[in-house]
Amino acid sequence: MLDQALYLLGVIAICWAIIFALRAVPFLFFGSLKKPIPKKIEVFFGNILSPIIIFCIIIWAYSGLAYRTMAPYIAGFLTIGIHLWRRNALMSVIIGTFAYMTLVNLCGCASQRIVTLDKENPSIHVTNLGIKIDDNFVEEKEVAQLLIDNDIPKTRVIHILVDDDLRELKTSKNLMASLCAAGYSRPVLVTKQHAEVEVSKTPKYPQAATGGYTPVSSSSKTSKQKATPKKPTKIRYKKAHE
Amino acid sequence: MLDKTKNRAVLRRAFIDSLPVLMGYTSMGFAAGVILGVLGEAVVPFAPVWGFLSALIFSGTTSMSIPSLISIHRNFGTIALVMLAVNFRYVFYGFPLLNRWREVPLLNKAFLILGLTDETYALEIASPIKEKARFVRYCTYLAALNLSYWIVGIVAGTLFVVLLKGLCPIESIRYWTNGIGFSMVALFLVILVDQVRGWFVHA
Repeated sequence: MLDQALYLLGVIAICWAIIFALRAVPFLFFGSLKKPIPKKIEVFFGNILSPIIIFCIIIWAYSGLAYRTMAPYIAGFLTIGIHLWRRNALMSVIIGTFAYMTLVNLCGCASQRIVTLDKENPSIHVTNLGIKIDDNFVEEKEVAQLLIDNDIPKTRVIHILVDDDLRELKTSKNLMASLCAAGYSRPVLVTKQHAEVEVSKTPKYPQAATGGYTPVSSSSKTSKQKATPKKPTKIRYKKAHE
Repeated sequence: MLDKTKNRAVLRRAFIDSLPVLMGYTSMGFAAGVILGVLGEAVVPFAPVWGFLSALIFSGTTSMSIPSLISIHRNFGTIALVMLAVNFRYVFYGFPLLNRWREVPLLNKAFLILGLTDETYALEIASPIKEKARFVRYCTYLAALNLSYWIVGIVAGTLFVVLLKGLCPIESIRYWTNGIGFSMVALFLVILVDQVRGWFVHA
C-alpha cells in the first residue's frame, strides 16, 4: 500500500511539474520583455490559433462520448443552433447536455453500440466498478434486456470479459445467472489472457437480424485457448493444464 | 484596485460563466476520485490530500490519462514523455494573455498560470472584458472557481466510494449522470461558435 501511495505521489509530482512548466513557458521567455508583445502575434494566437486548438479539443472530446451513435452529433448541432439563435452560452450548454443525456440514457441510443465483441472493446465487460457495455455502465438486470433489444438470438454464446484484477466474482456470477434466467443459456466468462481476439467472419451461430454481435473465439474458464493469429475464421480450443 | 460592487459584479460574471464547467468538472473529478477510492479503505484519511494533490495537476486530459498509466505501472520516464506529448498544447495558451497579465504580481500570476486549463483558457479568451484590472480579477476568480469544482469532485468521489459503498451503488450514480460530460463539449462548441463568429464581425 505504501509503495503504491509513493508511486502515485511520484506520478502526481511529475505530471504537476510538466504541466506547470508547459503553461509557464510563454511567461518565462516573453514575460520579461520590456516592450509588450506585438498586436499581430497576440491576434494570431488569440483569434486564429485558439479556435483551431478548441476545434481539436472538441474532436478529442467526442472520442470520449458515444460517438458511434447519432446522439452526440444531434446534441452538438442542437447546441450550436440554439447558441446561434439565442446567444446565451449557459442556456445552450444546459439544453445541449440535457439533450445528450436524454438521448443516451432514455432513448436507448447507447444500446445500438453493441456491434462487435473483441478484446479491446468487449461488449460486456465486468470491472471493479460495475458492468460495462460499450463504455457505459449498466445494471446487472438490464444486460439481458439490452441483448433482447438488439435482436441477439438466445442460442448465441455470450462472451463476458472479466477483468483480471476483479476482486469480487459475485457480479459476474449474478450476471450469468440473470442471463440464464432470461433465456441466454450460453454465457461464457472470458479473461483477457485466455481470450484471443479473433472476430470471426463466418460465425457458427445464426446471425442476428441486425447483423450485429459478431462472435469471437474465446475460452471458458476451464479451457485454455491457443492463439491462431492469422486465421480469423478458425477457432481452436485446447485443454488447460491447470 | 476594484471597489466592492465592481468586484462582486466580476465574481458574479465569473460564476455564471463557469457554471458549465461546474457540471463537467465535478463529474470528471468524481470519476477520478472513484478511481482513487477503488484502491481501498486505506485511502480514506488521504482523500483530502489526494484532492489537493490532484488539484495541483488540474487538467482534464491528464486526469483521464493518468489512471490508465498508473494501472499498468509505467515507469516515471514513460509517464513524463506521455505527459509532454499530451499536454504540449499548453505552451500556446499563454501567448494571447501575455500583454493583459503583464503587471500582475508574481504569486497571483503563478496561480493564474496554474489554473490555465482548457476550459479556463477558453473562457478567458472569450471574455469581452477590456479593462486590465477587471480582466485579471475575472481570470483569478475563474481559476479559483474551476479549481474548487475540481477538488470537490475528487474528494467527493473518493469519499463516496470508500464510505458509502453499501448505501448507494456507484453504478446507479454513474448510470444517472451518464453523459453529463457533454457539458464540456457543449461549452467548447459554444466558445468556438463565438470565436468563429468574431472573425466575420471584425472583418
